[in-house]
Formats: sequence, C-alpha cells, structure tokens
Amino acid sequence: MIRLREVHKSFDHRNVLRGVTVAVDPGEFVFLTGPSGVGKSTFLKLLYAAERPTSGEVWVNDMRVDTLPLHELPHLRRTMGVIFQDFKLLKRKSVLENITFVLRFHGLPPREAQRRAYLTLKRLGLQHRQSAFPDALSGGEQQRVAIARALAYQPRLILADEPTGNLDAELAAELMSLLCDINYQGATVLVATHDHALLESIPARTLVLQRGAIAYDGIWPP
Amino acid sequence: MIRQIVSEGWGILRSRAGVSFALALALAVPLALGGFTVVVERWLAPLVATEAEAAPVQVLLRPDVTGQRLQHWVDAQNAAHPKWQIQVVPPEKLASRLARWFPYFERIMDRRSLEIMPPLVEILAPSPATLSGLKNDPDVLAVGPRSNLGALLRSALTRVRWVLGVTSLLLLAAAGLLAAVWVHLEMYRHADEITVMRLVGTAEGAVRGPFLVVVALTGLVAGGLASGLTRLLTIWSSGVLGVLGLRSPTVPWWVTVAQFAAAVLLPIATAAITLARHATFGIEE
Repeated sequence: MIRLREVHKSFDHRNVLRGVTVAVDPGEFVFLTGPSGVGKSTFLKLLYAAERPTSGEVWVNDMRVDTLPLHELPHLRRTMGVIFQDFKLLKRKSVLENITFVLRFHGLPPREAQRRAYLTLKRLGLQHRQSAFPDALSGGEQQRVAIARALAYQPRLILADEPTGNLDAELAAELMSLLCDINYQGATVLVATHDHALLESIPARTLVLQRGAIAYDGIWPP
Repeated sequence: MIRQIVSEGWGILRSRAGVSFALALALAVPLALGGFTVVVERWLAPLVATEAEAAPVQVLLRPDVTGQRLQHWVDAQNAAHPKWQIQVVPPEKLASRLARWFPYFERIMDRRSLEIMPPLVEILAPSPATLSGLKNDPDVLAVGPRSNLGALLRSALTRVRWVLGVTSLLLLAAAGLLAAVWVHLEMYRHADEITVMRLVGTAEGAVRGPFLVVVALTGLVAGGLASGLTRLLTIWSSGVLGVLGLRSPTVPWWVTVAQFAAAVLLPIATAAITLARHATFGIEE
C-alpha cells in the first residue's frame, strides 16, 4: 500500500526528512506523529505527490510516486482520499454540490453522482444538511463533509492531515470513531497528528517522526 | 465530464457577465474594423483595376466627333505629337467601365443605343502634363487627370489598409492580453476549486476546461458582435454611397467566418498559454 525507502527531503538545504524507510500494509490504521514542524505534512505530501522527495523511493498503491509523470498524477490521486485540517470545502457550493462536483469530474453521470453523494452524506449522518453551504455548518460538520467528499469515490487509502486540529475534544473523538469505522470497512487510514490525547484514545500503530527520521514504530503508548 | 466542464464554465460566465461582455466588446471592435477594411478594399478593387488600365490620360471628345471625323482628329494629333500613343476606346468598353460604378447605367444601355456614348480616346504621353493643351481643342469635351490617379489611389489604399490593419492588430493584441489577464484573475478567484479538483485526481484538461469554455463562449459573443458591427458599418456606407448612385459594398461570407474563428481562437489561445504558465500547482520539486 505505502512503501518509503531511504527518503530524503530538504528545503533550501534544511533537511526535513532524513532517510525515512517505512511500509504500511493494506487495511492498516496508522498514526503519524511528532512535534510541529517535524515533517508530518511533508511526509503526507510525498504520498499524494504534492511534493517530490530529494532522494529515495516512494510507492503508493503500486505506483512509484517519486518519478510519476505529471499526466499520471490524477490516476494516483483517484486511489486516495485526502482530508485536511482546514477542510478545503468550496464555499460557493452546497454540501451536496461539494461532493457531486468531485464525482462529476470522476466521470459519473449527474444522477449517479447525486445518488452516491447523498448515500455518503447519509452514512455520515449529514443528509439533512445537504442543501446548506459550508459557512452555515459547524466545524465538526464541515470536517464530516470533507470526509464524505474523500470517501465518495471509494478510495483505498485515506490520508488525514491534522483532521482534528480545528475540532473540540468531543468532535475529535467522534471523527476518530468515524475514521476507525472507515478502516474497519477495508480502507487503509494514515492520520498525521500531534495530539497525544488522540493517540492514546485509539490503540493503533504509530510512527513517531523526530529530527526527520522514524524514531518509533509500534503501538502507542509504548 | 464534458457536460460538467461546460456547466462549470457557464457558472463562471454567469457570475462575471459584465466583464465577459466587456471582453467580448474589446474583441469585437478590432475584428469589426478589420472586417470593414476588407469590405472597403473589395469595394474599391474595381476602381483600382480601372485606373490601372487607364494609366494613360483619358480624353473625352464631343459626341459628334465620330467616324471619319474621329479618325481625322486622331491622325492630326499623331502628326502633331509623334511620341503620343493614341487609342480609341470602343463604346462598349466605356459603357462597361461606367457600369462598374453606376449600376443603373447598364439598364439605360439596354434601352438606348451605344451611339449616345461620347467618343473616348486614351493617350499615352511621355509627359502627361503636355496634354492639358487639348482642353482648348474645340473637339475635346474634357481631359482626364494628367497625374497617375491609379498609382495615387493604390498608394492611398495601401496606407488605409496599413493603418486599419495595424490598428486592428494592436487592438486585438490588447484584447488578447485582456483575456489572458482575466483568465489569470479568474484562476486565482477559483484557486480553492482548482486545488480541490487536483487533490481528488481530476484530469488536467478538466481543471483547465471550464476557463477555456468561458473564453470560447465570450469569443462566440464577440464574433456575433463583430459580424453585426461590420454589417452595420456596411449598411451605413451603402446608404451614403446610394445617394451618390454608387454600387453598395457587401460583406463576403468568409469575412463573417473569419471574424467568428478569430474571436473564438484568439482568447482560447491566450487563455491556454496563461493556464499552461500559471495553473501548474501539481508538484513542488
């Protein structure tokens, strides 16, 4: 599912990742943690090819990402769903449109896109908010819409970058429960977070990044 | 997918109707100007051709100077000016030339005989100015311009063509730049949508498609406006020329096609270049 071998990444001679080697198998639930600025987001960006490594190999869903040609990028990204701390919802579109918008660009006919978007919203308990615009939603609801959008096209891999960063403890727990449920249904989930309370709430494999390298790989707490 | 691209493009266009119309107008004006230049050039073409044939000075004789009397006049001129080359223009040719500019003349000629045409001679002289003396000849009704009118006309036409052509091109370039800037601004206005589209694996063509749809639709409106403006100018000039009894200019079909093609292709090309240069948020190396 995910394979990194001797991955280095530097920005202006500042080494963010130094020889990271790690593998995540299909169906795993993995936390990626470490202090702020350690390179968690960079790690994820390497996986969804928003950045290329300075050296090393990155494999995701059987595709070599570090040398992936630009025209292959959409194929890679269609195999994964990415969830962000700031949700990245389209403010000019309703909740339902935010999801159908993505599905339509994946080639689904309008009716099928609407049907699937509605079913995904229903799964996340948001069907009653389908006509609302993102600004009218609470933080938790917005994050659930972002997850619905990431899930709508049924990706095999979910990458979440600080997904609970803008949520209170109760909503964060609710969100993690949702991600566990998604993982239980077969998707591989990788969550980047610096929230220790979150790590302790779910016993899962945890990768700890320190000084650009994996300092710990195992169930948290140790 | 295509329906979605068109639908997104239409959405952008609707939210920016005023700017789109301004862009369409900016494209339409130079295209209309260029189209009208072609119309005028085509209208003037017979005159330039006539004058090119008539590089010699034209001398119109009195209607009664025909037959032997005409031949006698020609012989006398040949004798007096051995370097002149004098040629009698047949009445049919004169009638045909006049009919090019005065269409009703053809109808008159159907009813009346060619004999009413006054005799016309063309004289090629080393120094055309010396022909002004003919004005005092009792058999001569009128002497045509002694300067090379054809050359003057061609030169004037070339200048008009250059001025209008360069003006049209400059305005078109400005309109193209306007389209590029507009697409650039719209791209930043929709940066969040572009980011989301890319993150979920939308093909690059689908990311850029809506912007190209917007400029293509704007171009279609511009083509319609340009074609309409050219026709309005042509109708207006027809009215003016009609008062003088001159033939009306017409807009050839290919001018309309060219206007539509340029109006659609130019903004698409500039938008495609802008998108290729600035819409590459794909991978940070």
